[in-house]
Amino acid sequence: MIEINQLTKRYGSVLAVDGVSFCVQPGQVTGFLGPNGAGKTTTMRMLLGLNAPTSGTATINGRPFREFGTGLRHVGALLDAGDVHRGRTANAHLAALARSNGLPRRRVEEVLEMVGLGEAGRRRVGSFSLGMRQRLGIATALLGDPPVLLFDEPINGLDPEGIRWARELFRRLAAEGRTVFVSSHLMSEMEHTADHLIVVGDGRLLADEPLADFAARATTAGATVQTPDPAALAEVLRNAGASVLSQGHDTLTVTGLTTARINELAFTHRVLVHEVSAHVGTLEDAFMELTAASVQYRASATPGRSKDR
Amino acid sequence: MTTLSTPPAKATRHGAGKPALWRDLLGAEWIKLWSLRSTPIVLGVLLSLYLYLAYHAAQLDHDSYPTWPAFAKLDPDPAHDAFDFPKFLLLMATAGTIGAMSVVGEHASGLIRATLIAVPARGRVILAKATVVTAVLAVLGLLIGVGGWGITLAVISDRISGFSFTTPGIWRLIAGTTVMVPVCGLIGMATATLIRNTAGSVFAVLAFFLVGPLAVKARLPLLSDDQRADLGNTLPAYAWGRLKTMSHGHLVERVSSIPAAWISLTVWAVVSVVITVTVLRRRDV
Repeated sequence: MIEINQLTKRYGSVLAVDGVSFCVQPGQVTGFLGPNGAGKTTTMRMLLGLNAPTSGTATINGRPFREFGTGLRHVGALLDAGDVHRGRTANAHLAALARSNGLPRRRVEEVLEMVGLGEAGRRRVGSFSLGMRQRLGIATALLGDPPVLLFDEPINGLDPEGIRWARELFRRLAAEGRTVFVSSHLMSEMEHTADHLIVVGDGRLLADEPLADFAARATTAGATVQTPDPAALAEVLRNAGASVLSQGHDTLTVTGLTTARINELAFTHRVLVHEVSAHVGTLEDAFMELTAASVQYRASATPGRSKDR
Repeated sequence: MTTLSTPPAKATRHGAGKPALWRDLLGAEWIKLWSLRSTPIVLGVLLSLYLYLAYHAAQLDHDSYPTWPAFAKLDPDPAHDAFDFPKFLLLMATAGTIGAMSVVGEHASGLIRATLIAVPARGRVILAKATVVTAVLAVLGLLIGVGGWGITLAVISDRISGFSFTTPGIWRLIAGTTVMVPVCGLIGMATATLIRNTAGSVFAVLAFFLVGPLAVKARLPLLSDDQRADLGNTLPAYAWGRLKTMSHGHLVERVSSIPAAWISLTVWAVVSVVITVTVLRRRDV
């Protein structure tokens, strides 16, 4: 089990992590979600003793990580697939880490087989693709057969087959009773993997709940309306308190009103409507809504959608 | 599929476990050092180069001996030629670079994070690395010392007699070389720990070992000549230079005593290790 208690990290004037508290339970996959710069990696680094927290505590099975003698036997972690010396072979990289924890040499071949790099052990890591380095990072995490596993954005660079494989691996590890904590900035990724979600934005905890509860947050499901006179209808709907977004010359996306209410308003104001269809909220929408206020690095070219919400 | 009701024993295992064994940490650093292609190449080239330089110097002495003036023939100094000071500055700089690369290779690549996730006890990890670097460079220094003198003896003995492995001072020279090479490596490790960037670390190491010994020979502001000489004598290069000096009666400069030279090398080693360990222990990586 992972316990984070009032964890805070300040870099100069920037508050990277701001009083975050949560628990990660064994036996399930816990997704750690947040936009870029939300503080996910900083939280994981503090959990692993790499960065010292400004205040607060982070423990794994009741102990700060730095108290573990042989880390790999207690916690397996993939933080960044690039954390490898490119001049070494995959075998040598894993052999050195295994040796430091007194793990038998055969574990190296075992984990390389497990992640599908059995043939690549003698190749230098510098010649690996990003996907192969992710697999090598996952192999590193598995070396010590640990009860707690952390993966920071493990899906980056994996091909579709690799993504499916990684998903199944996380589920299998959790099914074996391990604590599996996986970070991502992609909700769609977590949808198929996680049982429980922890969402952070701008260094603060935004949500800590089962996946199903999180999905129920997407209540602002909207409606798509087709009308020959979008300008008139948009004004009517806005006056009724909806947010309206124009899409194409005859289509409006409306949130904040039910489809029945949209029909009523159109009827009473004598605006012709061709079609009103409801669309249900997705996890993605729930995530976007929740984090909209805390997105730090937003591309300036596509602000329209979130501005209208 | 495994049921959740029976988690494996590992998941319920408590306690922090025993600290990583020294034997395993040394083994891990040994694997790291030798799994880089550059290690055997650089060490091999250094050993061959300095043995060749000793051979070449001895050959020159041997060939020119009949033309030497009488006073020189009375007091030959073959060790001075085999262990030529300016040529050994390059050995020191390279040993420093090897030490620096052992640290910067981890920081620049990010491997340091994987290393410290595997073994969170930072002090033990970096001490194991320093031990391995020290041991390997000490062997290099010993081989260059013994080999260089052995080759010199083999080349000159039929013309220049009276030298052997029992000549007074030769073991001080060999021991000094065996100590000096790893001390340079440790200085390199400390430099790289402070700088962490590959190019910056290598530049600083080269500047320290190649420019430093020359810089103290130039006029420095605010320092008297004696102070400048004392400063120079604390540098590892001149400490080694003092230990390797076997001839007698020719010392015209202000040089340190033999014990002072040993102390100087020891202090450089200790300070370097302290910097390397304490800085890493306090830093976010």
